[in-house]
Amino acid sequence: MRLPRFSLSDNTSLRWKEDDLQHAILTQLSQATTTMHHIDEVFQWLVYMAVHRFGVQAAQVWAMQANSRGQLSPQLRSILCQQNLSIPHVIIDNAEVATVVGHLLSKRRHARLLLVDGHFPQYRSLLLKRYGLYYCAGIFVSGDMLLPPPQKSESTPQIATPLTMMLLLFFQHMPHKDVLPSVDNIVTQAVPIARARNFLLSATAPANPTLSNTQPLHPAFSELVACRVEDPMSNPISAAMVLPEAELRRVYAVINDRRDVAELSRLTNLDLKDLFQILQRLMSMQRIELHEPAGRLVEDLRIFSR
Amino acid sequence: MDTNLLANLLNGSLCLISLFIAVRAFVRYFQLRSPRLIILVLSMSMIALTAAADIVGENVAGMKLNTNWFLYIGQTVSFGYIFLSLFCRSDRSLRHLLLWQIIMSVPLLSLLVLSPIMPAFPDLTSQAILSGSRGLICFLIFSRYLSSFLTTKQTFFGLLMSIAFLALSVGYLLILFTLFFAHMDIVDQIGDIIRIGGLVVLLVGYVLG
Repeated sequence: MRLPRFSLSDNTSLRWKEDDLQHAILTQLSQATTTMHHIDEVFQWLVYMAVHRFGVQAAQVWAMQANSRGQLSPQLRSILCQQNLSIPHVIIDNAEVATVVGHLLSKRRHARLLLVDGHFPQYRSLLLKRYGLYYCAGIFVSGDMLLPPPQKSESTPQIATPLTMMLLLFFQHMPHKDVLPSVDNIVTQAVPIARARNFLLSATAPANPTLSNTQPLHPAFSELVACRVEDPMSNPISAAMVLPEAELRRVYAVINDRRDVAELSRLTNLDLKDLFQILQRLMSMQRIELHEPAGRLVEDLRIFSR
Repeated sequence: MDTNLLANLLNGSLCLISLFIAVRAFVRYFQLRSPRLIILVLSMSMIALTAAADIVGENVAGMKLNTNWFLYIGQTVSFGYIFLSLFCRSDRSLRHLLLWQIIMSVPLLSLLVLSPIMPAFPDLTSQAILSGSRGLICFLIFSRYLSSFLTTKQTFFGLLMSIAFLALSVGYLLILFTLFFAHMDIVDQIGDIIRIGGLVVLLVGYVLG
């Protein structure tokens, strides 16, 4: 992948012209897209550009993706890390990060440059810092055109989704003040380039789920997090606390307030349909609650019954 | 009634009842996998151990054990964790609490191991503070159960727990009189009887509540 010779990083002492750099990068992107076939290749180019030209330690492109039932969830479309840091992808490609990204995407604006503590839970931020990722910012992009599903097919069918994406950037040191505006400009300009190459589809609106500020996002059922509900004042060793059926007990035993439904399904070897029934029963018995990844309580599980 | 007999009866009751509750909680844990149950197991086991150590220290001839440090601090800390667990609703908070309880068990058990060489209390005040702290914690637990019973949910279990911990706190409070005043054997015995009653109510509460 060829990129302009001159680069910007927080360590450089070279004088450069910001406009020239951005222009050169965008020209390069225009040329590179002639050999590309899918929007994911544009995303790969963007993360490569961020890592190798802007001193970013790790870059990811996340986008909201709808499945065939219209349920939206954040999906990682591209990822790249600086090789010298030997960052395992699982550190920044996991359900917890997806939850945070989903929350950031729902705000529909850039994620401010903050220490990772400001975006991620304590445990995750400690892990990120261990791998030299101290700062994080997100460049938000949205539009009325549709983002095709990923090149690599997922187990559940997915459909083109209104463009709602974020380029998530991780830095080891505080970046130069012009880095983020530059990347923002490049990413914003990349969208019409991608559209011109037909990597993004025109919106056909009514049949597709659309995003608005007033419409709440419904994550997939598999992403819901189950939490136990215990009354501290009740007798913990009472026989009434024991669930009447073995399957209920089996599922309840693996609920630990952190595991999502997908992980519960894996641990109990139950498919999602059976698990749905069991979780619905546990909810009706007021033994558990289900929360969306962003933390919102699920009042009625039936909205996920499709 | 012989004071020593009553004290042994009290310690024996405390040991057996605590152990019984600990074992039941342990068995229930395998069905529910709740950290709250393990907290109860550890607390009750520690309390049972303090009682057992006190019996051995007081009754086995030739064994010079100063188990009072372990007795007072062990019971205070164990009741303390039961009290704190009453505020934890989520698995996450219970797991954090359990972690701290496991960590705290190590220095507590060292008090038992070191009891042959532990010194006596430096003065009556420190002994009173350590002894009285058990009563204070039990009173706090009583308050928690009582407030829940009066404001939120009136359950049989909540009522029995309130009575049990009130009795325990009164019993521990009466011990303080015996530390500061002479000829308080009768008060001591009343305190022991009240505590035995509290333990019986505690057992009934966990079994039937």
